[in-house]
Amino acid sequence: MEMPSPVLIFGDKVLSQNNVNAAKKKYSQYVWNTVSATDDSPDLIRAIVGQGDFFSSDKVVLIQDIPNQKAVREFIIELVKLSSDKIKFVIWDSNGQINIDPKTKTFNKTWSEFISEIKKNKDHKIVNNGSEFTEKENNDCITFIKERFNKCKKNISHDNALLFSEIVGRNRGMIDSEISKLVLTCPSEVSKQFILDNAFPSSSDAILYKFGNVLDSCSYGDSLVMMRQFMDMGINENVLADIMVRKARWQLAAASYWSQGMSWNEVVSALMQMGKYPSSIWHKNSITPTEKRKSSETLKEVESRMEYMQKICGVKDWQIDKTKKTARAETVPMDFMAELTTKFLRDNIIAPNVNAYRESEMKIKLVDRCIKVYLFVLDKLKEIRYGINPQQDLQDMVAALTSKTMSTTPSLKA
Amino acid sequence: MKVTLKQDVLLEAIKRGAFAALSDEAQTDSSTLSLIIKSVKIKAEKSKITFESATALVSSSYVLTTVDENTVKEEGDVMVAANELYEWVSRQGNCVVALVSKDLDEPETVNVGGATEAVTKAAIRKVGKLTLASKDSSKTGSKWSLDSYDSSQMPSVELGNLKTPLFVLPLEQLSDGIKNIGFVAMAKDSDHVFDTISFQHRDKNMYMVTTDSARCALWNLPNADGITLENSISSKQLETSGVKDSWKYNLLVPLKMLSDVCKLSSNAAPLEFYRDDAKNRIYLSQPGFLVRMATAGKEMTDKFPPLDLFLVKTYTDLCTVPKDVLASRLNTVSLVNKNAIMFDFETDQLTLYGISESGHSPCKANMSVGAVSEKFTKVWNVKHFLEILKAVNADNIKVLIPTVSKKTIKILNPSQPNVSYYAMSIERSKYNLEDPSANS
Repeated sequence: MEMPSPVLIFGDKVLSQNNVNAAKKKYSQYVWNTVSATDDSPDLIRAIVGQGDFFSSDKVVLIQDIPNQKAVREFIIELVKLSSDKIKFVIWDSNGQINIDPKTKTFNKTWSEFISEIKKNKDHKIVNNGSEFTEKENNDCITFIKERFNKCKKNISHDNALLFSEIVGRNRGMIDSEISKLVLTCPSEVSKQFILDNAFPSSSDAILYKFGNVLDSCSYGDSLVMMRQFMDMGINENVLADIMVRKARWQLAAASYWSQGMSWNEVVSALMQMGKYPSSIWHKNSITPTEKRKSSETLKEVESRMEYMQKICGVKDWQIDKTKKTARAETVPMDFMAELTTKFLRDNIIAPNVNAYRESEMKIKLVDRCIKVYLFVLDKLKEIRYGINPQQDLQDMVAALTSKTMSTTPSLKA
Repeated sequence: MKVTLKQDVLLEAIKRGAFAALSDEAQTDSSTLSLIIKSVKIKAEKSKITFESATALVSSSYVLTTVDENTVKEEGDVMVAANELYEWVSRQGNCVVALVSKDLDEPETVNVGGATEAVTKAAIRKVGKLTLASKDSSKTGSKWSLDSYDSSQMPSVELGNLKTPLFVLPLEQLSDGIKNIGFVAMAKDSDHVFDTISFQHRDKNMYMVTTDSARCALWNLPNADGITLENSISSKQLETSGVKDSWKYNLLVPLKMLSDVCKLSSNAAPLEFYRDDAKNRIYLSQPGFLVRMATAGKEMTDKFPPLDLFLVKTYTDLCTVPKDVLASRLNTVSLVNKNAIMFDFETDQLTLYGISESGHSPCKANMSVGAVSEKFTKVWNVKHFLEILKAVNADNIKVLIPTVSKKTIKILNPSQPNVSYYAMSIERSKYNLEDPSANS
């Protein structure tokens, strides 16, 4: 089987390494020589390229670690041009020097010249493994996840693919290796629960999804097991404590909305609106959600926000303290988190006590319970930051959050 | 089990029987079966004691006949950590060592590397203790004990149905061959082709061949016996049908393992080579000592050059070169380019040129050589020459060039007729081959 040459591989490191390994396997009849364009001298590289071979005359020279140096680029181009057809070249940008500008979607001038020189060779092949997906490329990321699952004959819905990307992150290599692992055991239709149970979390938000999911099951034992798993993985106690405070705050908000007379479905939408800025747009009932999103998009920059506050809201210039950074408001990142929060209150707190109280009493009791839990976990968060036994404090927080009692939890009594 | 052995006899038996368990591969193993892989099985019978160990790549077995002070007082078998046993015995000096095993009332399951008890296949059972006691002429010594595991989990090493060896080699010639041509092979090759020694047979002559694909070394074994290995492919077959099924006539033996086995084998008996074609395993055997090892996959063996590539090609004398002077000149010129140097043979002189792309000025050195038969200019790898010069034990080397297709060079050691070295030239270099003086 004839191998294309030169092959230029760049982009995501893990995918590129997979490409190299696959090529070594596919073209195993060739003798492969690996050189480093950073560490090996040009004399050595030229000697390896020119070295005759006794029997297997076909060889591949894999050049990796390409530095961002003009002389090295010129050397590689000259080497590729002068070498015979018997020698194949694989040039791998293992140091990640070749990048695409996210704004212009093009290579910078230095590397585009290098790539166009490579393209002048008749049998060339360019393998672009792409870089990490940006927030704007959310749809591309979801398409990538769906394609990778489909390749292994597994289906994943749009929402579950989004959840997967939130947990695993947007790095192509991480997504690829995680999917390779999951497809070994996942059902033909990948479910939300399977992702929550098995996908490896790569950020604090991802830990929130997984840990929050277990807390909402009201199982003290399972929650403790997961808490210890995260701690064994090196997750800081403060991160876990922060997650539990956020969960308690969402429960308090949901209880408050419900006590004001909202239905549970309305509570879910209200939770998703929470923290959206500016409230004068997001809480305006006369405009559609699409219009709300479009209007708020224009206010992402600080300057446009100032202009909006002064011209539309009537805030005076002297009333704005420009030296202070605006803290990001609390938001619920995904719909299913809001649904889980309301489901937790409805099924695990209200349902067991439905015969004990009338609805009006229940509303007061629920808000009271959520306030107490929130204040308790908030105090524990402070203790963790300054205390001496963070593990015990975390256990108390878990006990409070998973308690089904309406009045006071065992931990609160203690 | 209860045996008493002289310390030196026991130590030699452990070295051979625990050859696999003491290898780097076994000692760095971190799998759930690592306790077994790192262990040696000792089976005592009335007339013999067998020492065995095995990894995925190599297995070894050594049978010690019980005579004189080496006696079996009680039959039985144990499996204990090989390295610990070897280290303890090697520290004992001239004495008698007693090995006494005692079974536990109830075997204990040992979990390694997080293996759960549910993984029953990976569960290793601790079945007893082996007490080691040494006593010298002053009736004093030391005492230690090692955990003993279930020895039924260790596979046995046997020749099975293999009755006829592929060939039998005198150990001394084999060791000399490894010493003279071993350096040409790669230290490590991911395909396990170029880190091996190839044994090939042509016209009743056995040869050992090593190569890293750019250079090659041949060692003739004139006293090989009982050759049943298929005759190597002929140059005619090579031209017409290429190389197919080369594993049939080309036995690739991992160099490092062969070298270690040679050191452990006794000079008194020749070494027999067997191959299990179905399982692609090689067996090396001496009376009482058997080593089984994995070799390169059958399809990968095609990568190794056939013997005829070297034997059929005709070479003519170019000149004789003084070894030490050439080594000195090469070391000097390689200050500029450590990899590729141009050799220009003309009349009675050899001129070496070194040019570099790393910014060094060109360097030139010359030396007197014997009469040069024809002008010859090529670029060669410095390392190839320096290593050959180090291996040659004569004052001069003999340089030969092919009559056609002058891309190779042949180097002979006048005091060792069994060896010949070959090296391929470097092409497409920056050197000006048409006008060598332009390089300086």
